[in-house]
Amino acid sequence: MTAEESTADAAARCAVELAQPIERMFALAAQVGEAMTTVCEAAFAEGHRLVSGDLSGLSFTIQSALGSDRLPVGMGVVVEPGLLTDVDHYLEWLQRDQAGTPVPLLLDLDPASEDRYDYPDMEWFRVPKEEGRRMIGGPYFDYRGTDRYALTLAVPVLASGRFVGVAGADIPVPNIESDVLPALRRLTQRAALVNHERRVVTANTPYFVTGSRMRSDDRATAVHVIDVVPDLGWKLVVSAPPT
Amino acid sequence: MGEPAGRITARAAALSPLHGGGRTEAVVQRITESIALGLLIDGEQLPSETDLSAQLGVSTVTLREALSTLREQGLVATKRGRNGGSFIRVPRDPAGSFLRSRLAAFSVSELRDAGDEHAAISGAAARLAASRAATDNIRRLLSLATRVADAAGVGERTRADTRFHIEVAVASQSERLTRAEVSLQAELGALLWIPGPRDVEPAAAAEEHIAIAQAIAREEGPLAQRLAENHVSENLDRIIEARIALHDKE
Repeated sequence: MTAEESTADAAARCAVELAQPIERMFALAAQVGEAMTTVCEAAFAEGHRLVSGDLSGLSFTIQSALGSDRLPVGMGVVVEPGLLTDVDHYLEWLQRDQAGTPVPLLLDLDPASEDRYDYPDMEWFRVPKEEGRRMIGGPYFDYRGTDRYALTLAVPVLASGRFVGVAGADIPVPNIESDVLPALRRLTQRAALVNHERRVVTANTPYFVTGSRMRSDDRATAVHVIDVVPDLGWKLVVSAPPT
Repeated sequence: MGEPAGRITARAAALSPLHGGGRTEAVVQRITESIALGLLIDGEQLPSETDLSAQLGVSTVTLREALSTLREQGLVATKRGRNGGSFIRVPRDPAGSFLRSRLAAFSVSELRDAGDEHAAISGAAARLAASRAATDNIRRLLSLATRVADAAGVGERTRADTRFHIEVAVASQSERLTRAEVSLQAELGALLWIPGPRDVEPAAAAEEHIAIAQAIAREEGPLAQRLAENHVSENLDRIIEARIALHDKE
């Protein structure tokens, strides 16, 4: 086996490892989404107009999903504006507090407030809604939301074929870092996990800075660019060591 | 898993222990700033006097004095009875006298110092944003840039201006720079819009915002930094002029 083949194999193995925590999170989000589908479809079947209180029953499912994994700091559902009759914007979302206890995440959702948390405008809500596919927003500083540097992953939730919101999870960047760095460390070349915008999520070298867009010359000189999660546009970029 | 120790929620930060002694003015200042920042929102109920004084690390006597000052300023309303308590009141348009008294609390040298810090933070944030901003950040920056020109009244204009500057820091992807920008905006944001010798033209402010946002969008880091630093420094000059002019009335 040539040296080149072996770095390609190592990179391919690494990409498979990097995908695991992401797919694990999406599986948890999907569980929460299914619970929301059930609640909404039951209400539609009875001709009952949904109110925010109808979603409080999801907290048990959310809590058990959140408690089953150390990666997410918060999980829940975010509702399509207009679905509920009592409030326009709503989320049923639990977040671990400092002691690790899940508590509801309270945000300013008042449409009249200048400082409201405008989730319909966030990519992790917009993309699942408009394109009907799962997505990961960030890494971003979730100002007025979780108020931390995080990823928000989301899956569209449908009930009777209609988009009713997203189910998702917030993963602080430090948490994903400790999960994926061991795999990146096994590569001997400089390597970075990058998002759909080619921004660095985590790298095995300070040369690639978390949050920064990968420079176009680095993309051009990359030795391997491998899909980590193809539908999300997340990739592993491996480049030659500095000369 | 618990939260990392550095993590703060907005409300917890607003009501966290005061450093450097539990003076009445310090409590008044903290609550006033928290309201200006939106950490405490209109109609929000404050904890009981016993709990709140414990959280802030002051005596109940000090807290009562502070609440009474805040009531006089119209920032807190107290309701009696079973569902009673102290509630936050957010002025939609802070009175000129309220802003002028906040300005008078700074000396010129303190304003210069705050301006130096603000220029450093805003400049660095703009430079980093040029190589890090996500597509979502850019879209929001461009839409927030002009909002200051469309805003009606001092309160709305302050919030629109503040929101733009915080979004630049958010786009830098730095949690620390964002927290620093948020706290500087809480301290200085409203002071810019006090009528003074040389008022800010909202349309001109919007144009400067657009130039900063476009430099970030075009990935021109050094230009974004220079524009942001100049923007902050010129605004600070206006605030200092307004502060100096207060001496005429003192």
